[in-house]
Amino acid sequence: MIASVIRGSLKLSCLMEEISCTHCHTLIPPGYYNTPNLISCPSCHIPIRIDVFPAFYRGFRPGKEGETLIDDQASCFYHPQKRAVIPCDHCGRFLCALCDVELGGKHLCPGCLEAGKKKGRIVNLDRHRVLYDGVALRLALLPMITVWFTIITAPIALYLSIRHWNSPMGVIRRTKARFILAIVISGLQVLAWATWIVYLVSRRLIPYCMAL
Amino acid sequence: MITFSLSRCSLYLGDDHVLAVDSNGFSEDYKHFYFSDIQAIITRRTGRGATWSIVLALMIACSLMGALFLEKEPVRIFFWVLSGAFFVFLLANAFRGPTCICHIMTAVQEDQLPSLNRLRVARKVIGTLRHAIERVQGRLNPEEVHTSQTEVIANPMPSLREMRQPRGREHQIRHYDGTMHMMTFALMLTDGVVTGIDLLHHTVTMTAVSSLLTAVYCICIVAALVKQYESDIPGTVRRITWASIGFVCVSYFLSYILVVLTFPTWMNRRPDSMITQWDMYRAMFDVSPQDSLPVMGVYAFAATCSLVLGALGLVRVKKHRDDSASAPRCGQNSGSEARG
Repeated sequence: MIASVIRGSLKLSCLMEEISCTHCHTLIPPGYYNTPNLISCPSCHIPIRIDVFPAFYRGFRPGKEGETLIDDQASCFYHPQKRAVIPCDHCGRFLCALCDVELGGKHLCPGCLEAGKKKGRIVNLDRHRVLYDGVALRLALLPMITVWFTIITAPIALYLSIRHWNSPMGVIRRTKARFILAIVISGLQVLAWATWIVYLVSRRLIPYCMAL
Repeated sequence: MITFSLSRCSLYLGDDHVLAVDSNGFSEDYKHFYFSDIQAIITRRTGRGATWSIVLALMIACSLMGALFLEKEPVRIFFWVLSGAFFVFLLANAFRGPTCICHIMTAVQEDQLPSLNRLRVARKVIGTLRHAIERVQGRLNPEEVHTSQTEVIANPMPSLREMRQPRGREHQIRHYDGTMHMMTFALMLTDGVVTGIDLLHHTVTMTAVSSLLTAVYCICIVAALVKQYESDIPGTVRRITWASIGFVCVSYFLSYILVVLTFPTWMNRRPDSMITQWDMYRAMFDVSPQDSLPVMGVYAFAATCSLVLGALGLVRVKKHRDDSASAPRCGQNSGSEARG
């Protein structure tokens, strides 16, 4: 009994990560985990609460190995000597346990995963996105403080709004309101500049024409 | 949370993961934490909210001083509006409750969740997350918890010094007996007494001594702050030291306002007396707290704060030194190793 407990604790200590105070980096003993309220760190005495979940005790799960192919079984597309266990949810290729990547409840092959990441098809793999609607709106609004810069920025804002109208926006759902607002504001600015230029030209041209 | 980099951090709950979004208006950065991978969430209370409250209270006090003592009506109205705005911020800060920092831990990383910066919100979100995580990982198996507790019994809790395992060179905790802190607080206490006497019975010599003491303990506070970095000095002493530097900044600011506002009056009173810089200092030292209410207020504030902070700090440092002295020898040894 004692031996099994010791073996268990040894196994546990091998699997378990360590949790340390985020302020003084002192290791926090397990007695401090999952308390309902904040408790003082044993070292720096700063109130701290540690919520631990079962994954903490389970540690790393070893990766699966593909099983070797026997007789006329279906083989993996990437490893012909391994037995296929599942088809790719995207391209339908047969995959062994090693090639099967589970992401967001879907089973994907490494090829589809790579392609999805590059083309931005798999939302869960996106780590960064440019918010063109935000850029266009700021480009339309901010230079209005100086007025004169809008002669350059208004066409750029208009171009960005039209060019990226269908580009993927943020992962969190956003409306096209910013694009519409940017188009309206920058459109008005372009119109104002055009009117101003026409007015200036006509002021110069009309006396010249009259003289002729 | 709006930081100085003007980025906004938010947390979204997905079907199988929690998404942390860091947005600056032009682009967004995402971090996905899958429920099956989350091992722990660590919440630590911080004093940022309290610090903001103190700063805002001081700003209100300064604005009120401007609103009450200045003569021009538009300036007074401006200061009233300013103090009102600061008061609204103070109320908002108090209403949002104490601040905290949350970290999420998986098998391969430990990331901060900047959006969970208030304790009340953090508790609520962790409650929601716990349900979602337990739906995927299952409830914490009592056997696992039991095994963990057995491990604690089998391997008794290590001493504090043993638990302080540095993650890197930069996080090495060293032993510090608090000599510099003791010196600083002693000087502050002395200055408090001197300023108090000066308040009741003003002399130029007393003001000069007090100014000299202030200058010396300012340097000592900075040295103490350097010394306490990554040392085993208790949190209370750290907070008192930070409060001391805050007090110094505020008292300098108040003195500056006082000089700017009242110096022209002194100059009008004695137009021929100020020829050199030294004469100007003499004129400033000559100003008695009994002559003007704002000067008396600043003197009283400085004396009270110096006395309170000095006394509190001295008591706490003394306690720390006593604790260090009575600690087991092995603790002292490891302390020496850390110093070396």
